[in-house]
Formats: sequence, structure tokens, C-alpha cells
Amino acid sequence: MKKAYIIAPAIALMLVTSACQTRKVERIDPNQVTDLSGRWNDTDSKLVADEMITDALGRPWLKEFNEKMGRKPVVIVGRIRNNTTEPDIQPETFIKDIEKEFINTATVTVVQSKEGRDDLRAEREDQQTFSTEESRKKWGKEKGADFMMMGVINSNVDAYKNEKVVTYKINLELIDLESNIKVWIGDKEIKKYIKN
Amino acid sequence: MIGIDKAKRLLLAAGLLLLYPACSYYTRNSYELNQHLANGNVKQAYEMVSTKEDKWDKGKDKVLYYLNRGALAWMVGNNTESYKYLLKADYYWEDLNTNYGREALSYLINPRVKEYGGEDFEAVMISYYQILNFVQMNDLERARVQARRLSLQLQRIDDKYKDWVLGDKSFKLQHNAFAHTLLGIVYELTLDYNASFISYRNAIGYYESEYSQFFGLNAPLQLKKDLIRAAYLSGFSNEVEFYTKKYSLTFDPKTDAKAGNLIFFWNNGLGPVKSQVTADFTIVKGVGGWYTFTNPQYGYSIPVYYGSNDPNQSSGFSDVELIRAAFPAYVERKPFYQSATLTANGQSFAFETLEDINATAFKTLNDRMLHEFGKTLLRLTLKKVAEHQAKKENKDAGAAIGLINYLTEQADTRGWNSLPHTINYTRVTLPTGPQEVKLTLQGLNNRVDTATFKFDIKPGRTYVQPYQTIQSINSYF
Repeated sequence: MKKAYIIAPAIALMLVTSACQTRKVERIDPNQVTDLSGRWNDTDSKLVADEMITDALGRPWLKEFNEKMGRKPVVIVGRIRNNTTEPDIQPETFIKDIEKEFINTATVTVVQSKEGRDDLRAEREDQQTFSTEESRKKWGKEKGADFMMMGVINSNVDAYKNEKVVTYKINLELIDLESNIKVWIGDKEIKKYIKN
Repeated sequence: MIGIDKAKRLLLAAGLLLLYPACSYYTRNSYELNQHLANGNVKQAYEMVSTKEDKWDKGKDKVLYYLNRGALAWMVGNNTESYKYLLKADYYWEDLNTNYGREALSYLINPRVKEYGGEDFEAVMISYYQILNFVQMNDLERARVQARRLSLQLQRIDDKYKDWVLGDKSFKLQHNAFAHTLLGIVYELTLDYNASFISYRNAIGYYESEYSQFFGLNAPLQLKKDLIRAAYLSGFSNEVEFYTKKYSLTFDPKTDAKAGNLIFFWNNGLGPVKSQVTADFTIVKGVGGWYTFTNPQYGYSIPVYYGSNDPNQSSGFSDVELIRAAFPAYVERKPFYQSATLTANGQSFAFETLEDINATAFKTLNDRMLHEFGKTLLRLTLKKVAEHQAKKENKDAGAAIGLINYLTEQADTRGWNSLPHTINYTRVTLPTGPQEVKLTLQGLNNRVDTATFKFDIKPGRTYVQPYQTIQSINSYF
């Protein structure tokens, strides 16, 4: 305790300098796993999309459709609901990751979702007036989807003091648009332990 | 005679300590911000926090910037911006780690050197504004996400409370009845009537126990009606019968189905601000390293442990000493508007108080006052011991440490100063089609102000309309 009167100002000095530090920014690989807060992030979104689409495409519905129709199925990714405790989760990012995985496998055809269709139709309408006849795109040629993918991101939080376990459970379903029959249901869990 | 090196060191340390608050832009500008708020100048206050973001968004007080910017953006009608800043504040507190260096320093200097950790009712108020933001943006999915977040927050507060609460719990405020009402409203808006029923029932329980005991605030009549309706919509016929009898109410489900509903929130005035009060304590040296701090004015006699049983390790305290301690204390800002009525469809509806933030703040601080005293007195003990030890080696050094201790002794008076004083609500049933609703505010000196709101009511739909008046009688800042 004898040196307390020297230690106290010394700590103050350290804090004064640290309080005025400048921000450091560096670029990192977008594929690098970064877990800062423990909340849902881009890594979770990519990981879940990748695993679930691999699972979906390995199930019998795809083979059955190919054999019956002789072509690739057309899929639309519909609404993914956020039922977690994080209001900033963007289901749109997750939807894009799912669409990307589908397209990259080249086993299904993906069509534009509801939100983006209006923009496409506006552009097509614009073409009818301002584009040359040979480049003008026709009405009524849109590809109708055979299946719609829908889902929900749930989370369960078990917390006490500065410790927390968050379990994300993602449920996806693929539904036949004509018959409403569910042809595939998949789920994936991500469990995180967070200590403050 | 003090050595040159030591004198330089002390002078440098004293200078740095005095300069320390200069690093917080918030500290230097909060006076002006509070002045705008107290004068009712929401626009100027908003403009102030909207400029020089790089300076506000820095240091240990930046969460106060997020909170104020979030609340002010909501007041000027910018829901997206409000959501963004309140989410920052929400996550900031969720991620706040104990900084052991600052924690230790808070015992050597003052609690203001730590990051602002907030009051529990302030954490609840983030969810209130966020829910309003989402409802106003017509994003009920995220309103529900926020409700789930609020539910977790209430559990966290409950757990924290179990750990540190002292004395008889029946005299402490443990539950937030307003937050449970809010949960019920969100669940009702998202058509989860079962969850809504549970939340309303919890809320009424807390109004009937803690809120009526501590604030004289009984469960609103509207809440009882909402409970019965939620029970009906959940298919709980026994509960409908039980609660209609218990509260002597009647319930006609047909009336509700034909029309729309409007829930009108009126946020009135400004919540209290923290100020600093000082109290003189007599320190009486006991045995085994214990000291008793007594203050006859407040009737306190608080034992604080410092030191060891080793008789050779003296702290340097005299047997009896006098010490001045600084504590936070709330000061009320009384609202200018005393009452309000809502006129709709030819009928007048009175507002009922859901939350008295002023009373909650006072009660919260009062409940943990013994805890605050303990921390403050431990800090003063450490400071005093350092001063005595320095004096032993060199009289001038001891005096310099004494001066530093005196200059740095401050209570933590930080708080979210743009919160309302009270939150009131009323709920009206409106016929379908275009409707005009008039709010009449009764101020002091017979001043009456009005505001009108237009709705296109759809059958079975519930509308939420918030309104804020921040004018206050006294402008403490």
C-alpha cells in the first residue's frame, strides 16, 4: 500500500493515453471466421446455407422430380422469418446465401423472389418503349417456380451472470407450389458459448 | 523536503488527473444537451447530437450518446435512425466486459472513470423505444424479436438482483410491471394471445404488489380489460369468467371484432437527473481491520473492512477521523402538462399511468443506496490510506495526494437524460373507416394544447400511436 500514491497516478496515465487511442482498421479475408460479439454473423449464414442446401439436394425429391419431369426443378426462396432475440439479423443475407448455394450446384434453377420481381417488370415495361424491337424482352415468359423454400431462424438463450449459451436452430422447408406437399424439411443447429 | 523527481511525478499525475475528463466529449457537452432538453427544444438537441459524431462516439460515455441520439431521433420521427442507435446501446451493454483496470481505478479516483453501465430501467426503456420504432415502421416481426429480447433482459435483471440485493427483499423493487404490459401488447399485436395473456397477468401481479406499494400505482383498468380479452382470444373461458368477476367488469367479444383498436402512448415530461450530494462521515477505527463510518444526519453506521489482523500493518488512520463523501442523488424534473384526454368518436378517454420513470429511478437508487455507500466509503478509505502512507514518508507528498483525492472525489451522476417522466396510455375502440382523434393536454396556468391524429381504421386491426411532450417546470441540468 506504501506505493499506492504512485500506482494510482500511473494507472491514470495509462488510461488517459488509452482513452485517446486512434482507431485501427485492417482488411481481412471475407472467408475468415470472425466471432466478436457471439451474435449471428455472416459465417453462420454461409455455414447454414451451405450445409442445408447440400442436405436438401441429396434427398429423394430431386431425383423423383428429374425422372418425372425430365428437367431441373425451378425453386424460389421465399420468406425466412427471424424468431431470435437479435433484431438486426437480416434474413435477406441468408436468402442470398441459399440462392447462391442452389445456383452453384447447377442442379436446380432459381427464380427471382417477390421483392425483386417488381423491379424486373418495371425494367421490362421500360424496354417496351425505349429498347430496339430485337432486344426487347417479351411479357409472359417468366419461369414459374415448382417449389418454394421457406423457413425460420429460432434462437434459445440460456444466460446467467456473464455466461451465455445461445442455440440457433434454423428450420427450412421445401414445398411443392401446386400441391402444398412438403418434399423436404431440414434443420441445423449452431450452439455458441459466450463469456463476457 | 520533497524530492525533485517525486514532486515532478506528483505534479504530472495531478495534472493528468485533472485533464482526464477532457477526453470525454460527452462530459463537456452534456450540459448544453440537457439545457436544450429542459427548454423543450427537441430539434436543437437532436441537431446537436447529429453533428460531430466522431467526437461523441468515443470513450467511456459513448453509450449515453447512443441512448440520447436514439431517443431524440425517435422524437423527431426518424425511426430507422433511432433503431440504429438504440441497437448500438443495447449491444454495447450486452457486450460490456468488466474492465478490471478501470474498476480498480474507480476505487482510487471516482466511479466516473468506468464505462457507463446504465440503470436497469434504462435497459428496459431501450426496448420500449425499439418496440415503438418497429411498430411505427410496420415491422411486427422485429417488434416481436425485441419483445423476446426484453424478456431476456428481465430475466437478467432478476438474476442480478438475486446476487447483490441486501436486506429484506419485500421492500425492494424487483419487477417491472410496465415491461410486462409492453410484452403483452406486442404479443397481442402479433396475434399470440396466449403469450399476451401470460404477460398481462404477470404485469397486473406486479402492479398489485410492488407498484402499488412503492409508487401508489395500481394496475390500470385498461390492463384488466386487456387481460380478459386475451383470455377470451386464447380460449380460456374459465379465466374470462374468473377475471370479469374479480374486477367487476363485463366483456362483450362481438364489439371488439367489428372495429379497430387504438393504443395511444403519451410520454410526458423528462425523467429525473442525477446530481451530487455530499455527506460527512466520522470514521471510527475498530478491531481486526474494520472501520465504522457514521453519519448522524442520515442515520447511517456502515462498517467497511480494510487492512489485516497483523498489528504491525497499520493503515495510518487515527482513531477518529472526519471524511466527506460524494454520492449520486436524483432530482425530479416536474412535467409541465398535468393531465390529458383523448377524444375519439364523440367520446373522451382518460389516460392511465403505466410507468412512473421518475419514481422508479428514485426507488432504484434508494434500494441500492447501502451498496453505493459501501463502494464510496471503500474508495475513500483507500484514498485516505494512500494519503496517510504518503504523509509518513513525506509531509508535502501526503498533502499533494490529499489534494488529488479531494479534486477527484466525484459521484457518478451519469444517466439517460432524455427519458420521459411518466408513460401513460389509453386504448380506444374505433369504428372502421377514416377517424380523427384529438389529444387535449392540460398544462399549468390553465394552458391547454391540442394535437390531432388521423387513422383509416380497418376491422380487427390494432393501431399504436405514441406522442411525447417534454416540457418541464423546473429545468435542473
